[in-house]
Amino acid sequence: MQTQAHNYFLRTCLSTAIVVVMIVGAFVLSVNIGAKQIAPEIIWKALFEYDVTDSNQVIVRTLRLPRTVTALAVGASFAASGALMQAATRNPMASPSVLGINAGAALGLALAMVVHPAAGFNETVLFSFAGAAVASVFIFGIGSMGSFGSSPVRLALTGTAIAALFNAFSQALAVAFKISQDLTFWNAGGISGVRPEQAALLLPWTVAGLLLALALSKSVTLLSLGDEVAVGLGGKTAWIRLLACVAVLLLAGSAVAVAGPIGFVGLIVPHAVCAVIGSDYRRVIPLTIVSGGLLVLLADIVARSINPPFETPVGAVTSLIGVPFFIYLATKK
Amino acid sequence: MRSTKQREEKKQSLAQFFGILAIMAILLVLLFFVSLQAGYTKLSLSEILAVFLGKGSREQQLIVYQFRLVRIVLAILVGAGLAVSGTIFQTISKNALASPDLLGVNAGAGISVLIFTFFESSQKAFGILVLPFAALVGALLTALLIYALANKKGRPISPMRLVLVGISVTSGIHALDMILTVRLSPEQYNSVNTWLIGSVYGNSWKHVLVLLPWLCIVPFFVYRASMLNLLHLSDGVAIGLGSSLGRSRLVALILATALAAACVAVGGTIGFIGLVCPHLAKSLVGPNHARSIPAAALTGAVLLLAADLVARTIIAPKELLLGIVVSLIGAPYFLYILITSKKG
Repeated sequence: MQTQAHNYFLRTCLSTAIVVVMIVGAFVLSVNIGAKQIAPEIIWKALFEYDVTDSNQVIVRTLRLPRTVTALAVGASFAASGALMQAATRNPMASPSVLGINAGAALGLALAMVVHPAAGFNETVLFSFAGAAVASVFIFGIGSMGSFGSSPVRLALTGTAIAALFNAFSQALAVAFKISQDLTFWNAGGISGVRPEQAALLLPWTVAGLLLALALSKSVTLLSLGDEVAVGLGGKTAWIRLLACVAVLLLAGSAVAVAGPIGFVGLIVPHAVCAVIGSDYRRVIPLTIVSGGLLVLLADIVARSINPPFETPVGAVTSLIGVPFFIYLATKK
Repeated sequence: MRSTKQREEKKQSLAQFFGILAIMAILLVLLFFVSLQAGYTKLSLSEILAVFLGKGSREQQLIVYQFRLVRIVLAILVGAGLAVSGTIFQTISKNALASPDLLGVNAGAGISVLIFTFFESSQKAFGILVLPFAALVGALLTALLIYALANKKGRPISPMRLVLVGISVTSGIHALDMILTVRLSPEQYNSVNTWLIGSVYGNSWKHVLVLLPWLCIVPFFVYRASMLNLLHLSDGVAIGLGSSLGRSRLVALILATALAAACVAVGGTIGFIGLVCPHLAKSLVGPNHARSIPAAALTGAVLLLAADLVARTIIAPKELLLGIVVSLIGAPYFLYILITSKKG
């Protein structure tokens, strides 16, 4: 027992180190690659000795850097909310995209564009939170009806149906109020056009959500053992679930508001992490956060290299990785 | 020898069946005329009749024959085709959730049409005649893929798992669609996207002619209704009654896929019709295929025509896409089926 715990601890340290090194590499690559190749030393200069007259440095500061940081933040958010959901519902298929929460946030955004087009980012993000909240009430309301029990497959199907419904509403709004182009841009995963101000406004929400997720990591580990065990060990299950829900809304809602509903990140990353370091969420959540950032950053690099100079939506890339994995989950046992 | 009472009952239920068909037919005719009237240029009933008698103005002739009638006929045909295809899927898989859209067949047909139009733009001469065949190839490949993924040796396929695999393959195909369509110019993108979401707008009589032969599959299914009824029974019973299950099932599956694929080639990937209509039809006329197939066809036609009417009138002069309206009706119904179905 002791040695096994020790083993997992070692693995955690090692894999975190590997992921962090890969993030640094991907970071440089992400700033480097694009319509214009930019040498690594210019990146260094742009970061620490910024010179406005050098056009390369301006590109780094205003285009590449915001994009890279946003990819990291968004990936971390989706992955962490997936981990929280999987632990709190004890359902391996739970994640913001599969259960329709991303679609709800996207509908909130579409509504914001219709009723309050002049809103700043922080107001818009509130609409996104509200949409995500409505979707989660839907999914868990319907999930507790009928003979549902805790069948993961059934919950996933319900989430798909809810997502289809919310997407149809978003599309209807888009056509009716001529916001189609803005919305397509979002739905396809809009990391490519992110502005520095947007990235700056996103980060506080992301940090708040991630801190809450880290604070909850011990409690959700209890939940993942089952309600009886959790109560027996002195956990207040209702409170933990509520707080976990708040964290998910903060993370998924703000990420969707900037990047659109990028699918499957919240599903894959926690599983991959658990496979390597076990299911103690005190370790899983930190590693999930960095790995999620890495995954979206890599997906974004792939997305702009597939077919240059065109941008391929990053959501399409994550889907191509995520779908086979999802099928594996759906068909095993 | 049957008692008089049984015969009486049979007669009564037959009358009921024709009553329901008649009501739906009347509904369809009503919708037909309302659809002809509604639009940017309103036409009165007498004007429409005048056009049909060959008397209307040239402008009215053009509106009725080249625009509205094409669209109405296509909505009816596509609706009927998808609904019947869904009925067969549900019968063969004995799965209340099976339908060409949830099993990824529509998406598979869609992407092969998309790929085909990419490479085919230079030789338009026989283009749209070939489209249903291209769609069929994509649809069959997708169906095979999904079956192979969901099938575990020696265990029956769980209905929900099959559908979940279908849905995830669909989302993978959508990702590929997206990667393909970003290369297009904005105008091309718009038209492709419209078609992918589903729409019967902007088609010509040629499309109707292309689709029509494929709909001959519908009467064939009605003709073979007794075989389908056998397939719906448990395998043991059907074999005992002398049916060669494997072959008939395969034939029915391929024909149902072909029907859905042809509809997608013309109308785009319209979802939920194949799921909802068979359910409605069965609850109205019972499970016998000789009755449920015609009823499903009519339900599909009525539903899609109504959805198209809503799509083009609700925010006039702009248009909602047909596929969106169908999802707004279909997704809640899908949820309803999920909630009420037994634990699986």
